[in-house]
Amino acid sequence: MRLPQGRLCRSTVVSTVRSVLELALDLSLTGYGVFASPETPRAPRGLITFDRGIPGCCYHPHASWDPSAALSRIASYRPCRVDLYQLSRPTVHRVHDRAPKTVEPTFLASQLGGDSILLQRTKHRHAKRDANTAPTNTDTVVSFLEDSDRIKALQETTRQTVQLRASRWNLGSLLQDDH
Amino acid sequence: MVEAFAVASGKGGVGKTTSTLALGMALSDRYDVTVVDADTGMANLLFHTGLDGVETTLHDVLGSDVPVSAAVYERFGMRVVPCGTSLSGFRRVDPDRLRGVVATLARDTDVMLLDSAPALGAKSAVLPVVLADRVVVVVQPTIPSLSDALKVQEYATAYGTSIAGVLFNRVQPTDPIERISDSASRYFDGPIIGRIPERPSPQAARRAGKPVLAHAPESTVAMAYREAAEQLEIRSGDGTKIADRFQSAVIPEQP
Repeated sequence: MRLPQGRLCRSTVVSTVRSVLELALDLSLTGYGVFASPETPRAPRGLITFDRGIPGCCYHPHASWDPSAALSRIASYRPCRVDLYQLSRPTVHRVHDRAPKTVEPTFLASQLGGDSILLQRTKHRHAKRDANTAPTNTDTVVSFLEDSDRIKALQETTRQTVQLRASRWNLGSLLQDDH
Repeated sequence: MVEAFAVASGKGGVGKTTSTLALGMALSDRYDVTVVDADTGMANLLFHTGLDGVETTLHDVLGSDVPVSAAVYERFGMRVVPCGTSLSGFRRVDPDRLRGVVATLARDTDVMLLDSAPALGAKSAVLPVVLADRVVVVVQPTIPSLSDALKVQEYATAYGTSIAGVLFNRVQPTDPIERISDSASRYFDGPIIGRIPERPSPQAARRAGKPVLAHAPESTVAMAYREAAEQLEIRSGDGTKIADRFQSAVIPEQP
């Protein structure tokens, strides 16, 4: 997964990935975290993107776009070194638009189980974030629709995803020839 | 004659089932309408139609020798085919039976509406879009919903399914819907068929187990849905073709 280079805002070692999800909420991080094992520096690094502290994508090279498997890989890094980077919200939204898979806001918190505080905090933040970003201001949605490059990129990415999934789902014979 | 429409949104929570039933009821003034819960993984239609107590659902038909007629319920001027809520029922589903079910349902109807699952990452959500003649895209005037609606269109186009129309739902008074609608129309291949305002009536209807056109027929929302249905020009389809497409595409997918 390729991402625009963000601005490093925090670099730390934590005992579990749960701490990072809590930290992202604390910081209301918009950007991404790169997860590595400090004990095996050559191990592939995992990645989680965030929009105001809410996870968007969860990726690991050995799990591809299966978020559950990717989270398992990342969670296996104990302790875990994480670098948090900031990006602008439009940039993160573009990343999410183009990603083959994004997760539901509470997916990672649910997968991690344990106490429900993280889950509740994530739900609460998600509700608050969406309320804050509801299209009450004219510019938000309209400017999205006027950004034809962004729409084209979304359409192109979706076309590629459609082709990949058609093969996986055994629907290839139903695809139209000119696609 | 049958024309099958998938009612799809990509994003959940935009009022897809509400819209499916509202359009179905509005169309039932002029056509024989059958509404099928194509979201076999998360049954929803039965709660909107007061059918949550029924014994036989599409799951039973697809999982045993129960005839399809046993899962068809005449409600609100339409034929409603709900899915059940139990996971075990879903696991018993034999997709090979779907062809016969669809063929049987298509024989006696003019319009078939397939209420699709959200989340385009699942085959079961995409199948109705693949198999229908046309798609009604339900969208909220928000960026996530518009993004997913555009993705639905890409899926539809790739499989040769055209867009019957785009229905804006849950429109807030503060939404600049004229501008949004104008801008969105540049990207969608079908017309904007309606703008349904956000009002309490659909939620009240859902609690009452009725479609909004039955629960609050004179409401602003009901009238807006009727106007949207007027924009849908029903074409003569081929029920056998639909059934064949179902047959060739359905592969078992367990949760």
